[in-house]
Amino acid sequence: MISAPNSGQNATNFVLKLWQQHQGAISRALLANEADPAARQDLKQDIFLALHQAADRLKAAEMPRAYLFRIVHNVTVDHIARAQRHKWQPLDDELQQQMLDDCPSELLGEQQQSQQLMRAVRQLSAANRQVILLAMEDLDAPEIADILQISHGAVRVRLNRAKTELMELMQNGR
Amino acid sequence: MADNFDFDALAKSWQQQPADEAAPSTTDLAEASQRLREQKLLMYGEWLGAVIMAITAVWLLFNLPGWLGGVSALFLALGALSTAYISWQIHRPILAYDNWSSNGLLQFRRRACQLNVQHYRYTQLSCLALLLFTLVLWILHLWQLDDTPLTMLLFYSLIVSPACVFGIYRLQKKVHQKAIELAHLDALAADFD
Repeated sequence: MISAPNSGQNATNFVLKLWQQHQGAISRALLANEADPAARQDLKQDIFLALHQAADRLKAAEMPRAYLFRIVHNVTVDHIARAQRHKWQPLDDELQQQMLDDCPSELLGEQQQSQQLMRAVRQLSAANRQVILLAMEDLDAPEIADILQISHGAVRVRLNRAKTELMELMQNGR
Repeated sequence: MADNFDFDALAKSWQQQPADEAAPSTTDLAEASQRLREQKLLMYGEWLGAVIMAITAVWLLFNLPGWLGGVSALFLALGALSTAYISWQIHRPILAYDNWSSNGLLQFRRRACQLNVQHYRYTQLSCLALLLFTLVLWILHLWQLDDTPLTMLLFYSLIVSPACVFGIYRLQKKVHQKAIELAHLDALAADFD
């Protein structure tokens, strides 16, 4: 019993370290799945708690990155299921302005393209968004299959479907 | 169609998106834990309600002999059991997200939503049964078929019946809300199939 606070602290430190290693991918997943900043904060907290609860299993996992993404995406799907916020919302003004302010003028075109991509990803159906987010973070098919608990064949089919939808959205967004 | 898409370039562009979402802190962990505790408290509160219903059922069985006490006790016992079961199904927290698939999670939420609607319907029917019971009491009283105590008649007419009518109305609104949630969950589940 005496060791409990220490192990709790160890778990927190371990999860924070893992989060920092994958900060970019987790941040992008949060932004792509939840446009509302307050709801995004709740989602981030729920993911952190879920990772904390799974800290021991995460430590022992053969593919910790895949394990981490499984938790991130499952908590996100649960969030979408409960909150009914799967429909895309415009980027919040603050973030949009910050993105443009931070951007040198020669890269403004690139920045706008980047926003267009974020918009398109947000407009994808939840299942397609899930698989495309994983693929865009350079996870390979076996890892995606492990994360989503589906077969390699199903990953290929879903990814193809998602790419087609994303391409259509990108073209319509121009 | 998707084969012509330069997905690698798109992935590269994606990875250059600003990732300025701050890392969580121990405060975030405390806030998420607090929400989990509140969810558990809601479940325990409903279990307490179920226990009170069960105790009332036993009390009725021993203190109101005859068919009236028996039916009322059975009614309450069924209510207690269904409340406890539904509460567990709806409010139990998911503690290991790593053991689920997205599809499994959605099916779980869908089933919880369906159970919730069924529970609301059952409660509406219970309210309707209480209204009918009040009507029977009035018939017995007016036609002098049975010696109905006046306090019981007034209690059911002035307190129980209005509460039941209000309950049916509120539950109908909740059923409508849950039907929208269920449609959303059906669409999501179909998407993930």
